[in-house]
Amino acid sequence: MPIRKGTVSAARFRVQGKVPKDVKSWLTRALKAGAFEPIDPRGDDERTAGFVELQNDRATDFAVGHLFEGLYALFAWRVESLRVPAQAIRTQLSDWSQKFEAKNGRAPGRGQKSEQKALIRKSLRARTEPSSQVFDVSYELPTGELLVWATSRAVIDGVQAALESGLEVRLVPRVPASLVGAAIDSMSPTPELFGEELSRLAKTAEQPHLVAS
Amino acid sequence: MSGRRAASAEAKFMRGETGVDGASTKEVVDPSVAEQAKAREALFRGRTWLGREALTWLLWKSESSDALATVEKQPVKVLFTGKLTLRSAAGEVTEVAVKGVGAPYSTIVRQSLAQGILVHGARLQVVHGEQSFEVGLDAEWFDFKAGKLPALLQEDEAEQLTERLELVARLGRVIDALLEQFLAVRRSPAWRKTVVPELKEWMAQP
Repeated sequence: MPIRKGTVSAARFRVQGKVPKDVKSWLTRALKAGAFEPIDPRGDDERTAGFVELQNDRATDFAVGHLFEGLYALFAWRVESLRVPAQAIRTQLSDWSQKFEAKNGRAPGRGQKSEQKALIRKSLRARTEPSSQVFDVSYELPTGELLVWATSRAVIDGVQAALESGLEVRLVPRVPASLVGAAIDSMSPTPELFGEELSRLAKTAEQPHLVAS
Repeated sequence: MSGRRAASAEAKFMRGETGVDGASTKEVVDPSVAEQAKAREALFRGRTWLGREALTWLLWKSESSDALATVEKQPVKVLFTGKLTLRSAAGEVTEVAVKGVGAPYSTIVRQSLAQGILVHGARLQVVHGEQSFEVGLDAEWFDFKAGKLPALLQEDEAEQLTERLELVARLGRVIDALLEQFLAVRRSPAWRKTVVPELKEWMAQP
């Protein structure tokens, strides 16, 4: 649990938007709505993700005693993936094709192979253990500062999107551009540092992913 | 043209891969042009250029041992340590990485900065009052990377967690204060009038 020990790797956000007075039920409701659901081995999904309790990555009750620690709300984001190795499918399909040919005196047709491949995939999937990763999230209630304790941008983006949708707020990254506020739109790279051309190009370039506070 | 070749050419034309003159319809992109386009996109994305300006300014300011900000009545001092990554969106070189004791303050770094290859990633030692932190930052996101906190004072596990969270929050406030200092200068008329010329002078030092 990186939140408890080890080096600190985290993305920082500031919660921006209407935070209700009853923070506890607002947060609990959002986390429950985006709660983790285990991957179904009989289904087709290869990946699932959602919120779990920090202390127990199988629990999604988010009881107040488990969710809050002093001035902080602490929870986690669990990502589970189930991928059947392509090599295992190829090997089993090749074995089946050889047996089929020995028995019937001809190679299986394309349709038969495809049907068999689906069966092999299904059977291997039922026997494969999903792998899971858990990433901590801390939310400092008085300041609205939220940390996603992860380094993978894909994971950070996933947590950000889930929280923004569940809490109906925006999570603004703590970067210079967001600290400037709306005035950022009138700023451009310093020509003496980057060159005149880049400074001019910046005025028409797409500069997505940040929302000025 | 043999029958097979003619059929292949016909198939390529039908797939839209070649035009009526038989030449490819796909534009061949020069790898160096593609690399510069990628570097430029990385510079503009999320206004990373402002982050690079901030880290470059911070490197310059940190060369003196003066406090760069005050947080909770305690001075904040910064020292760049370890690996430093510089990036550019134009010219022949798009990235320079230096490593070694004192490398961030070396002549080679200043020469690169003078050519528009600015600081993109750095590892900082931040001293706030008597507490010393270490953290890696990048110009696009300013995420904390492999941050080291001062030794914990509490012995109880629950209290240690709270202390650790408070230290991380303090590090956040310190980094924000440094960025605010930069932005106050960056948004003032003094930026281009006096600060940038001084910065360029420092970069030109042998």
